[in-house]
Amino acid sequence: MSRLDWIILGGALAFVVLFGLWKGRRRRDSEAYLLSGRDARWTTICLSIMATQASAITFLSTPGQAYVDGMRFVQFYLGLPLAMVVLSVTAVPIFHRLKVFTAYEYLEGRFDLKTRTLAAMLFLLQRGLAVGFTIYAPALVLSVLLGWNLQVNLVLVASLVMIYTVTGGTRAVSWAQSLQMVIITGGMLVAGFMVVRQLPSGVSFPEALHVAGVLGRLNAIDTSFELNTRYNLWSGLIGGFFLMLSYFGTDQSQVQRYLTGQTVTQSRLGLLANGLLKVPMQFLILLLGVLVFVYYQFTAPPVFFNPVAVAKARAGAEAAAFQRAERDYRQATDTRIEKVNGFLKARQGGNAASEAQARLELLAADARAQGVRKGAVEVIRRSDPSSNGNDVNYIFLSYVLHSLPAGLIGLVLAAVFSASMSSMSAEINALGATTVVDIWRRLLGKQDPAREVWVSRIATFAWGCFALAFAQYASRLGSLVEAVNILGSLFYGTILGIFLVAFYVKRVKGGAAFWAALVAQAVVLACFVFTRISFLWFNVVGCLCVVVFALLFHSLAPPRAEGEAQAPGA
Amino acid sequence: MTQLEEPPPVLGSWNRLYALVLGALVLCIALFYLFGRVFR
Repeated sequence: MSRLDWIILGGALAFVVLFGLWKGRRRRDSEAYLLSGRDARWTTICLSIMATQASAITFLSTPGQAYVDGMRFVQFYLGLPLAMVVLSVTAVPIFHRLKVFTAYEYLEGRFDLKTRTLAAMLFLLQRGLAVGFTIYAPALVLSVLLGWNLQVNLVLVASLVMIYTVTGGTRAVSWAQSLQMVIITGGMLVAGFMVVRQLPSGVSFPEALHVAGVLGRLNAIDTSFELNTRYNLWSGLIGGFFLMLSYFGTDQSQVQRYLTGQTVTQSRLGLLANGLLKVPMQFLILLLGVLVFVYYQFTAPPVFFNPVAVAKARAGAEAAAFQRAERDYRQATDTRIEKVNGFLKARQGGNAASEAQARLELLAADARAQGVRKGAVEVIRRSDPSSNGNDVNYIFLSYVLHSLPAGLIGLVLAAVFSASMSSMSAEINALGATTVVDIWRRLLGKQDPAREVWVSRIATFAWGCFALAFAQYASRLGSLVEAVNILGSLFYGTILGIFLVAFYVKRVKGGAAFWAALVAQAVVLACFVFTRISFLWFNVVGCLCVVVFALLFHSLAPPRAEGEAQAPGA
Repeated sequence: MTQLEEPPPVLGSWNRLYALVLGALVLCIALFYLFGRVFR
């Protein structure tokens, strides 16, 4: 990295932290600290929602995912616009009318304290673990860049986030996120522009897409209905809908964003704008990964994108086998480059038969290169059994560091860091809010406003430290973006089921909902351990189990046992 | 007029705005499908 890159990266991060501190100054009571005084407009809400969801994981793993697996991951987001509409109709007006601080607060009015506490605890558990992934990604960037100790990097990134999040609360988080989204969008657009510009002269953008299409990377929509297929149209629309409904409707890190809205209209507009923008944005990020893939069809890529794992393999007991694999891979990719150029020449020639022949030769060359790479990954695994053999998270980063000019590297890295900081800040902000509102305040009763702000700060800081501790294990869990989503899917269905029963099945009371949630959670965990069902379906299973078991327990329970009726909040 | 009855600033009613979001989703799916077909 050049001095210019460091100046841009350091300047951007310092500006974000100072901007957050400035916007978040003078928060004297818990409503101002936890909900920004409920004064946000829809543009801030939309940017904040998008920045919360789009972590650095999104920008490191997603292009890598497209490089390895094509664009089918976009289907994961297809349920999001549906969820935005449903939440605008149902949850937003209810939460606004009741003026709740957290989503779980509503459950006590509708059911009882134990159901509220269960939902809050499930959120604290899954989000508390997930935030560890959020800070792991940028720490990984620094450790690869500078060879710094990963733990030191984690502490550095988390400290920057905690400075403005702990001090300024939700307002600092929301305004910093607006700025971070500008940096993120700029960084990604620059990266996309540069990768197209760096294609060989004579290779146009449509021709690059043809190469990607032939090599199976433009598989954005898969209409087959297979429960074991991780991403297809139906798992995206149905499973993704339940996941997004749960994430945006019951996960405090998102609910807190639109609870800051001035009015119902502002909150709804923020959610709907997210529904319009999110799917195209994910498509473009995946397209960026596909373009990086095409770039490496004309430039020999490394056999494995994790330089640390490669260095270990070169120096380890399997060094000779790995060197052989590297040599074979170089030959295979040279052949592939030749075949790609042959394919494009055949296309330009306009002869269908020679184009078909060139396409077959390209596919054969690609299969050979993939086979050699697979062998090299096996050698890496043998050489270092602690390696997971997955380099998805390193692909985009590797392209940025080796192919972008000075200055732009700093800008793209600033985008990655901004994304990570924006997600982490929203997450520890929400974890702190839930801890204070649903646990601490519920145990001790409402306290002096200034004292509550200080307790909120301490809770936020404590969750930041917990995230740091969990981040130590993130490197062992494969593709980060998938690991986060799998973790979320284990709990979201159950939480969503509790809220659906609360909103729509008025006759079911607290006891039935609570026990149904426990049974549903056990069923989801059993599915995860004993079946091979794609994780997106866990959201459906968990949600439906809560609804069905709640109705069942309600019908079985004697009327007096269910006599703990509360005033329905909905 | 209560907060809940307040119309959106564009399109006149919330139902039309919801239809816009869902229509955009259908359009995205169709375009992504065609994108894959054209360049396959």
